[in-house]
This record gives sequence, C-alpha cells and structure tokens, in this order.
Amino acid sequence: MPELRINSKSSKDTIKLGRQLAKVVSPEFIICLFGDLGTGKTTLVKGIAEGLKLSASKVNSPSFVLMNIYEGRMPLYHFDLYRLEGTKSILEIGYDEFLYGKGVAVIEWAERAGKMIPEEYLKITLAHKTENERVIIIKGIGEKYRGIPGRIKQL
Amino acid sequence: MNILAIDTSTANLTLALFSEGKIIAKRNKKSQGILSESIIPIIDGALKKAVLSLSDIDCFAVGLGPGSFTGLRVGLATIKGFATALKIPIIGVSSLDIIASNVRKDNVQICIVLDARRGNVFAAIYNKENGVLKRSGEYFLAPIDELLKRIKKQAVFCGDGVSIYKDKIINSGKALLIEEEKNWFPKAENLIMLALKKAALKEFANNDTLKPLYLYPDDCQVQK
Repeated sequence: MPELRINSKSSKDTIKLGRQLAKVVSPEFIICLFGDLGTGKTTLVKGIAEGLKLSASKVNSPSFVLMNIYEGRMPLYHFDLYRLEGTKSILEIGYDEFLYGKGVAVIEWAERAGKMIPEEYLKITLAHKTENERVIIIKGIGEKYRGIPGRIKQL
Repeated sequence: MNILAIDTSTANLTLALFSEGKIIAKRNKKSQGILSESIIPIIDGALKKAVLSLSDIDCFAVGLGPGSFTGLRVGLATIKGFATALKIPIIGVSSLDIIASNVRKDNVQICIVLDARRGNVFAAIYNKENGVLKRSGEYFLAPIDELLKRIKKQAVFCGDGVSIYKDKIINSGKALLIEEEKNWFPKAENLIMLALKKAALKEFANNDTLKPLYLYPDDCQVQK
C-alpha cells in the first residue's frame, strides 16, 4: 500500500499540508483523521479550509456540535465523532447524506466510527513526535484513494 | 377529499395533491442543497398551482422510509407541524410499499432493494396476486448476500440498490426481471392511492407518536 509519511515541525507545516490536500479533493471525497488529542487534527482541517478558500477562522473543533458545515467553492463537512457512541447516533446526525453529498467530508476521531467507517477513504494518522513536531501518515484506502498519497507528494 | 402526499426518503422529493377524485398537482424534484430550506416553498408552490390552501387539506399522506435519515426527519417534522397546527390527520406509508406499487407486472414476487451503504440494503419482499400487493415479512436492513439468500423464488427487483448490485442479483439467478430506473423511486401519485385505501379503513396515524421507519445495522459495536 503506498503511503506518505510527513514530518510536521509546527502547526504551520500542518496547515500547509492541509492546503495541499485541498488541491486533490473533489465532491464526495472522504478524509478520516486518526490521532490523539492535540495532534493537530483541527489544525489540518483549517489548512484544508484555507485551500478551499473558506474562512479558516470559522473552523473549530466540532466536538460539541458534532458537525460544522463551511460553505465555499465546495462545501466542507467537518465531523467529530468524539462524543458519539454507536452506529445509531452516528447515522442520526445525517452522516451518510453528507459523506456522499456535494462536498468534502472530514471526520475527526474516525476510530470511533466502528462499523460506520466508509468503504473507501483517505486515511490520515497524526501522532506526537516531540512537543511541537508531529508525524503524519497518509494512506489511501480503496481503489478511489490509492493514488492520492502519490499525488500529494508531487505537489 | 383533498390529500397532500409527500415522500422525502430518497434524493427525489415527490409530492402530489389530490382533489375531487383526481391528482391536480405533482412535483418531482431531485434534491439539490438543503431539504429543510426547499420543502416549504415546494409545498407552497404546488398548493398555489392547485388554488388550494393548507387549511383545505383533509389529510396528509407521508412516506415513512426507510431511507435518508435527514430526509425523513425533515419531511415528517414539516408535515407533523402543519397537521398539529391545523388539526389534520396523517396517514403514514412505508416508502418501500410506495416503490413496490410502481411495479406493473402482476402475479409475481417483488423485491424492493435500496442502497443503505457499506454493502447493506433496505429491503422488503412482496407478493402481488391479481393486482393486490401483500408484503411478506418485515422491512429489513441486511447485507445484499443475505437478502438474496432469503428469496426463495424468482422476483422482480426494483429500487436504487439495483444499480449497485445488478451483477450480484443477476448472478444469483433470483431475478425474474429488473425494473427500469424510472420506477426505482417513490411516486407521490402511488402514495395517494395507498393512502386512499388506508383512509377508507380509517387507518390514521397518531400525529404525536408517528415516527419514520428508521432501520439501523443490528450491531452497534464501537471500536474504542
């Protein structure tokens, strides 16, 4: 499986990666984010929003509200499954309609999706390296996403 | 009797107005954008065209799914709001029953199959005898392979699940016929026909407790 490993030295680097990600997304594109608290998941989403010319200042963690929608060139659906327990509550927020809707879906705490994990998606795992540095691994799951890490590398 | 019928369980919103024995307005709209913003203008437009107001409606008929969670919730909440404010009864009909009544062929078994994502389908099996449609068994959510195992004799397959699982359905040898795409979605004129039958039997819903037919995958295991 082709995967891309990136060392992010600061949140600035993570934002930059987000902007690059914005160049490879299209409607019905799904990104699942895995990683602990404070590894930069929401920071990465801010970068994607900037890249899509959406107002990055509006991007904040939807841990409490479960989902934010940012409208722009193409809508960005920003989910956070941290507070959701079980398939039922995930489905009830309209998960499927947004995942396969007109925009890009980014799911934070995708490890909580369990059985509701999409069949195909771009998997991004963020981990602490030092206090400020992060290791970010990007992997394409499924046919549609297989070539994506390679495309990001060439940017 | 004036009936307003609507189904929002799929990406195709369908609406019909029935008055004095015939359909007087129809709307079929592929959902674009947010249903909660467009549903009221669509209802309003159809009523204006029919020169009726909401208070002229004697009964609402609504498709209950299974299907899109947000679609069902917005549709039913809207109709319940009107029905409660104007004290109008509601008749609820499963959206799978509405789709099943699109099938013209008679004296056959019919299988309605809708895509429920991740390899699952919403499904129901019907027997049609001399024009009378009867469901056999429950509405269910299951992997496509399990549905095909459940089918004992060849059936007419209909619903948007057909587009994704056409090969599996054909290879299983269980397909007598695959219904054409224009019949895969609920049609409000058929919802009216089903609602008229229920109205004759006084099968009105309790407006306070009426719920969509939400089906969930039976395993709610969450990976921690």
